[in-house]
Amino acid sequence: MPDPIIQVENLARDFGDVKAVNGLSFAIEPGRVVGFIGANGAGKTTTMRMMVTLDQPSAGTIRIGGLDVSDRPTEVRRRVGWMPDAYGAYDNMTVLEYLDFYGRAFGYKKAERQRRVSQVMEFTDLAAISDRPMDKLSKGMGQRLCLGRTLIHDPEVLVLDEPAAGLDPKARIEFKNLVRLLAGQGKTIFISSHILSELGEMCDHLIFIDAGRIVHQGTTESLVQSHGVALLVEIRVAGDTAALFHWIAASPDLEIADRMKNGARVKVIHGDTADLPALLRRLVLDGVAVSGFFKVERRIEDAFVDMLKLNPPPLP
Amino acid sequence: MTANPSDFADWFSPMLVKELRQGMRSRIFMAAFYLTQLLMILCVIFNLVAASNSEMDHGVVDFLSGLFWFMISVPLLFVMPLRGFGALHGEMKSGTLELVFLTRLSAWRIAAGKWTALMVQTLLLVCAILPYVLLRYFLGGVDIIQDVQSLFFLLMASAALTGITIAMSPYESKLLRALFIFGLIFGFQFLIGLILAWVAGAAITGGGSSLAPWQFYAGLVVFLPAFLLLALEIAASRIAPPSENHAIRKRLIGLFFLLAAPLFLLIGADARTTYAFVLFFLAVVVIDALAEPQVLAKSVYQPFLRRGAVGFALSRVFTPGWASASWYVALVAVIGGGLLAVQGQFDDPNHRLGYVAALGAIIFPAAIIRLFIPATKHFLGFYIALQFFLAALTMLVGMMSGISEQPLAIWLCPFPNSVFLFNLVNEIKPGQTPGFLVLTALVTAGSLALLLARTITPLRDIRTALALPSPPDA
Repeated sequence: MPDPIIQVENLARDFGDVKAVNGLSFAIEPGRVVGFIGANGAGKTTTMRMMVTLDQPSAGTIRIGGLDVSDRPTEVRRRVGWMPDAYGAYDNMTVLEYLDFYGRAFGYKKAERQRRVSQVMEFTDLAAISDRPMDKLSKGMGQRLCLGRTLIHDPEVLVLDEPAAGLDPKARIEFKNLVRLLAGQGKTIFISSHILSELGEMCDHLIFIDAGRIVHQGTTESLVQSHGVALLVEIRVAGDTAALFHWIAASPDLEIADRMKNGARVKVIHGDTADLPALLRRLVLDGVAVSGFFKVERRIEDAFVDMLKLNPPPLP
Repeated sequence: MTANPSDFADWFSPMLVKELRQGMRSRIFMAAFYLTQLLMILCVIFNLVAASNSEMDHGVVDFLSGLFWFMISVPLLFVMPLRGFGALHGEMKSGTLELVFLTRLSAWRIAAGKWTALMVQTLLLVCAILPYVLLRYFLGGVDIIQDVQSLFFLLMASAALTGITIAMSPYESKLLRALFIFGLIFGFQFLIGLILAWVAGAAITGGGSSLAPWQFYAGLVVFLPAFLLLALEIAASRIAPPSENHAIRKRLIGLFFLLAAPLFLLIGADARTTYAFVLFFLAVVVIDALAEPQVLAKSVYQPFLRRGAVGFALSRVFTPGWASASWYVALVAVIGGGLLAVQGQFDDPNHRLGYVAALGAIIFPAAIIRLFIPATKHFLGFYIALQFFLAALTMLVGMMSGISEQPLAIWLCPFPNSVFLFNLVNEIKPGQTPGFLVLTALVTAGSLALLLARTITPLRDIRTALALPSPPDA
């Protein structure tokens, strides 16, 4: 197993009496795409800002490529690319000038800088709008430019905070593709998002945090199948759904996940696929007018909600 | 890639290149440039009319000359320096500054780049004015050397004012900005008058004393760069990530001011003027230091701790945060007092009182704030408010004293700030000096002791949080 490129140990960050981050520990191997998930105020951005040296931990350590971010911030900055949730546009500056400025700021001279800027513009598909003023860019173009800026010094680790927030579906797909391409180049990507299904597609490892502490970490599959809920079934009925809901309420091994117009998504607690025929038989014999019965994949959103229920934040 | 950025720009700081690209396209610069051109043309037309009329009154000629300098001064002393207010604040708000910190650019290079870009634009304005200065010369009645000198001093004043606005730009305080603009509006005419009078050969007066031209130039060469360094360091320290230590340079500049004073006295400069300058600069350093938030960053402390007991002692004075600033104030007080004593300045009881009161005037409000609201994030706001309150109280008591013709009334206001002001305007009678000296020394020493006592907790917290070693044995 390779040495972790990101190693976080007992990380804490207090703002007065508020514990924004409370004892986080995790390790990420090089080349992984890791999703960092949590509700607003869970401590995602605070953790990420500490990872990229923009904030200092109150306790604990973060190591990027073996370097402690508190001890050697300058070296860490060369290895990390940070993309915040909102990119700030400069007035009176074009796309090319923006990337050129960051090329200069990272110390690249003449030909090397021009090569890097060209590469980044090609990768992010910005070459056609290189002369466009920054304040005339759409949100999607802006995010691509922001990603381009993050890549200008070719960092090993990319820390992306809500990169797809506010993007339209087309821009979101484009952005997802860019992340996949970067993952293909072997970069380690640490990404937070509210759009959990997208993270499920992009990431091979997920870390869930709530109230500043980790509530789960593992692969997407392990998450979906964890926490005692292995099966999700969609049941549709002909006519009134009240009988179905009543029947579910009377079954201790079932729980409603989602109410629908003509049925419900039902969690089968501690069940597996082999139990489904028996479940359907019971449903029909008990007089519920079943019109449809399907096994459905459990969504990450469902797993996330379950996890929060199973791991309530500690009382203050 | 559709265009290649010019290689010429590689010679300059990335921040300067960026700021110039942005700044020279900005509407304010364009407007200032065109407006200056327009006003200069108008001035030259007036001068032409004046030159063609040989019987024109001298008063009108003087007025036209004044108008010319006024019109040059507005963009140089007002428009361009005020642009400094937006230099860092705008980027802080939009979050772009943090992205720049992750590059190789330090906070210092960012602040310096912003200042340089503004000064280059100001210089461009000056260059655009030069042809009109020449035209005035050809029209007659003008000393071109004097005009160029005046332009140079205006540029120096503009540099200092731009440094101040950039230093203030990270602060959101509207009160602070309003105070500066208010001061600038009222000091504007005085500043222009001072520069023109100086160039015309009059002596610069400072509290009844005067500076010889070479002493003035020496002061300019020593103090202006130091002041600019200080202003830009203040700006840099306010925007820097916690891992950068800007306290060292700022506090060393403070010590430089303190140690430069005796050198100026050695070359014959007036003591009162010199110490007035030094006190002003030191007050800026000390107040800024006392307003610094505490920083928890290993990278700040480690360079000191690698140097053993000496490094540990230096970290007590040269690390960011108000706790170490309090120890720095104690150090400055001791060095300042020692220097004045060695120079025999303390032979005069009024000087002794002046020193103790000046020191107390700076630290007494700080001690009050740290006593009642030690962890405040709005130190500077409270500090300015307290200074204003104490000044108002002093004025009130001063008026009462004047109305009642009872000098003892000033004992109603025994704060060091009041004593400093009373002493400055010679309101303290010789018989009162010893009493005031004892009282002010007690309040000042008490304030300093209180400040130092308040540092115990934050310094211990830093040691615990960063797992730093205990103080080594000397």
